[in-house]
Amino acid sequence: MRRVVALLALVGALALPLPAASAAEAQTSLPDIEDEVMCIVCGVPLELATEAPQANQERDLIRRLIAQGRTKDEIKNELVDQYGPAVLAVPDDEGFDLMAWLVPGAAIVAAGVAIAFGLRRWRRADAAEASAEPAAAVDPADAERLDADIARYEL
Amino acid sequence: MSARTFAVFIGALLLIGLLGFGLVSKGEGSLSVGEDVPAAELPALGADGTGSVADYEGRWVLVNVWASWCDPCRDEAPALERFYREHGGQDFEILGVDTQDDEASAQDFIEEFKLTYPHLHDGSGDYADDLETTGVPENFLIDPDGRVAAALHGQVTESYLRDTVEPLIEGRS
Repeated sequence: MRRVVALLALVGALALPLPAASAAEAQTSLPDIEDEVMCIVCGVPLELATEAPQANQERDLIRRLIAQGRTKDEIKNELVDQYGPAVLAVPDDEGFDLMAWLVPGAAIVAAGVAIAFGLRRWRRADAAEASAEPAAAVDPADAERLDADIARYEL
Repeated sequence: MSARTFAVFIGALLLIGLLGFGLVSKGEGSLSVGEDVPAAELPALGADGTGSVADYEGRWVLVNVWASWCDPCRDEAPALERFYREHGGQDFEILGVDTQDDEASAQDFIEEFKLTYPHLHDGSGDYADDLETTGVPENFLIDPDGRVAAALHGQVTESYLRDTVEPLIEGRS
């Protein structure tokens, strides 16, 4: 019986639409695209170019493409066809543009390694300093009390 | 001079140098008279294939850099079309370069003003950069040898076409 229930649950889960698939097909919006493309005349992201006539025309084009049911990627591709690659505010994830994504990531990793290395050296230096110092003599009475305390906490 | 004073002096010097460079580079205009016009293959607007200013070598050509979102371009379009109908032919051509614009809007513009001269599409604005334009519209009259004979950094008017362009293309000046 349990097996049948598990099988039915599995079939039910597979029958559900995948969230990623539905998200990929979701209709995009002007604000969603505006921060990823440039006003090419103004040299700033489209969302910041509120008054420029070229920016307004670019917005009209995006609105028309949204009304045609185009996806975000299709709209960005159309903008690149019309205005060239400089219209993209976010670098591409292939070719030389990939460096724009990889270099900051590599820099963060390198910084992490450098910090870890520095901390290790620091701790080693502290340990060496501590071992170089002569051990302070413990008063016999204190040592006795310490042993008694430890014995009390031992289970 | 203390180290601090020296650092302030160097800082001030750098700042002045930077401002000076900014002013000088701002002062550089478009192509000037006598310079060779840069040529680049661009897609033809409203037609298949590509075109270039170089295609018109041996003829006078008025290169009009425009965009459909530009109001002064709307103002000058009728004058350009009238001038083209009167003078366009074997020895003279007007070549529109639609820059930083989308093709559909550019086509609407051409239809609205019933422009009959050819146009190229420079969507990225790279060719306008080659021409060292600082805005739209800008107009360059190119002689049959491919050199700039006159440049106007703004919209053309009937009087500019009559007093500056016409004498040059008719060999009167």
